[in-house]
Amino acid sequence: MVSTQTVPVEHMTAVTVRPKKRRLSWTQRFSLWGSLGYLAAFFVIPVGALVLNSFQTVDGWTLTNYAQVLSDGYYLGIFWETVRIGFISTTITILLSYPVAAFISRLSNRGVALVMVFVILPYFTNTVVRTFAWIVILGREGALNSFLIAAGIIPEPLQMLYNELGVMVGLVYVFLPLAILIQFAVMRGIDTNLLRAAETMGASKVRAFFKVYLPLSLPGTIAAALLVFIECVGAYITPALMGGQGNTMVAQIIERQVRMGLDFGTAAAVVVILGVVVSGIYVLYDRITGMTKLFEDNS
Amino acid sequence: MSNRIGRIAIAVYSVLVIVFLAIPMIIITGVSLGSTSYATFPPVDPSLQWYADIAADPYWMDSLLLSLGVAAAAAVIAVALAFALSMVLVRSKIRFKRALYTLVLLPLIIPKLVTAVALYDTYYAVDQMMMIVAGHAIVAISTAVIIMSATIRSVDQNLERAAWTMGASRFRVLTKITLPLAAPGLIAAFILSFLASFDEFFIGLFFSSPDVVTLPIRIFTALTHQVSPAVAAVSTVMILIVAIALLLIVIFNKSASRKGASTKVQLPGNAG
Repeated sequence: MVSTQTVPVEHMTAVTVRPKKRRLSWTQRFSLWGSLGYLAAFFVIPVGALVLNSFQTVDGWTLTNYAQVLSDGYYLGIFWETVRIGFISTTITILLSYPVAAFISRLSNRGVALVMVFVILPYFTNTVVRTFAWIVILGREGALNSFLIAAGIIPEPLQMLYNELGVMVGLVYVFLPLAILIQFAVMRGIDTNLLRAAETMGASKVRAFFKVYLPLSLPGTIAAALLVFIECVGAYITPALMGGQGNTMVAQIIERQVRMGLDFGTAAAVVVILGVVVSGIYVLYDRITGMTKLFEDNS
Repeated sequence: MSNRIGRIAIAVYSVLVIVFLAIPMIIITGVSLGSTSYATFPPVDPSLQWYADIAADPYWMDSLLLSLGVAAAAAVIAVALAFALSMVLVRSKIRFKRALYTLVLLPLIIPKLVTAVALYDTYYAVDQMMMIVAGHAIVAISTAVIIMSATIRSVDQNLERAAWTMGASRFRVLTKITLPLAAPGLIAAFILSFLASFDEFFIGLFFSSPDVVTLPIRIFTALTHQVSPAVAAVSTVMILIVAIALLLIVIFNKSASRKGASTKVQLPGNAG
C-alpha cells in the first residue's frame, strides 16, 4: 500500500499509483446492489422459497416430503432409471468424443475452424430441434427404416423410437458437442513434443499414449463426463419426445407434478434432491477444472 | 506402418462422428423443403411451400417474434447487469468476492428446470411475459458475467486515469473510454446472452399461456401431436438465426483483433 499521508502532493499519487479503495463510490454501490437485487428477486429468493417449501406441508415444518419421496418405490425407480440412463449415455458420449476431440486438436487453425462449425452449430441449436431430427430419422416410417428396407437389410421397420434406445441416441447426440468442446480445449494445450520425447526414448506408440497423452488429457475427459452426466440427469426434452412409458426420467415427474399443482411439497423435495446431486457433482468438476478460478485476478 | 494405419483409423472414426453430428441438421433442412403433407426425407418435389405456410401462420409467427423479442430484452438486461456487476467485482476490493462469483455462476450450474420451477412457485401469479423476460435474463447472466469480467480486466485502467486527470467527468470516462474499449466484449456478451435466451426451454414451459408461447415450447407441443414439415421449416429458421448470431461473433472478433483489442471470447457450456 502506498501511504498517501507521506506524499504531500495528493494528485501525484492519483496519476501514478492510485491504490484501490476499500470504500466504494456511490456508482459502484448502485451497480453492486442493483445487480445483486435483481439476482435476489429472480433467483436467490425463489430458489430459497422452493427449498423451504420442500420442508413444509399443511401441518407445518416437516421432513415428510423427503420421507415420502425416498420411501416410494415409484420415485426410487425413476431415480435409478435416470442415473442408469445418464451413466450409459455419458459413457457412450465420452467414447465417441475422445478420439474426435484428440483428432481436431491436432489440426491446423484453419482445420479446427472448419471442423468446429459442425460441432458448434449443433451445440447452440435448440435441443427441441435436435431431438425432432432424430424423430424423423428413427421413426417407424423414418429415414433410417426406409433406407434399411429399401436396401433389403430388414424385412419390416424396427422399433427405434419410444424406447430406451431412442432416449440414449437422443441424449448422446444432444451432449456430444459439449463433450468434444471441453476435451478439445484441454487437448489443444498438450505439448505433443512430450509424446515424441517418450518415443525417442524407446516407448512404443501405445505406451507413449497411456503414459503421456492419456494422463494429460484426463482432466478434460473427466470434466466432460461430469458435465454431460449433470445434463443427462436433468434432461427433459429428449426422454419426453423419444422415450416410452417405461423411460420416464426425473425432470418429467417434476414437470408433471408442478403443472398439475398437486402436492407441491413432494415435487419441491424431488427438485431439491436433483439440485443437490447436481451441485455435488459440480463441486467435483470445479475441483478438477477450477471454473470459478476463471474470475481470479492474474495481477 | 501400423502407426499410419492407426492415424488413418482415428481420422476416419472422427469424420464419421462429425457426419453423425451433421446429418440431423441436414435432414431437418431437407424435410422442410418437401411438398408433402407429412415429414419425409429425402424431400419429394422440393419447394419453399412450408416456409410460405409458416410465414402466413400466426400460430408460428407469434411465437417466433415473441422468442426473438424476449431474447433481445433478456440480453439487454443480462448484459447491463453483468457490466455493472463486473465493474465492481473486477475493479474493487470488496469482501466475499469469490462467493459473489459463485452466486452469479449458479444459474448456469443448477439445472434450468430447478430455476424455472422456483420462479413458477414464487411468481405464478405475475404477468407471464414479464416473467419469461426476467427469467431468461437470469439464465443468460452467468455467461454475460464470465465474458464481461474478462473484458473489463483487459481494459487498460491507465487510459481511464489519463482521461480523468485531464478533466473528464466520470460519466465521460465511461462513455468515451471504458465502453468503447469494452465494446467487443459487450457485443459478444449480448449475442451469447441472446442465444442463451433463444435456447431456453423450461421457463417458457411453466410460464406459457395460450397467448404467450415461446418458440421451443410451440415446437415441443407440435411434436407431441404430429410430425409436420412445418416444424422442420421453423426448425431450419431457428438454426439459421443461431448460425447468423455465431457468424456475427466471429466477424466482430476479427475486426476487434484487427484493431488490437485483446478480448478473446470463449464459449462456456450452456446446453440443456
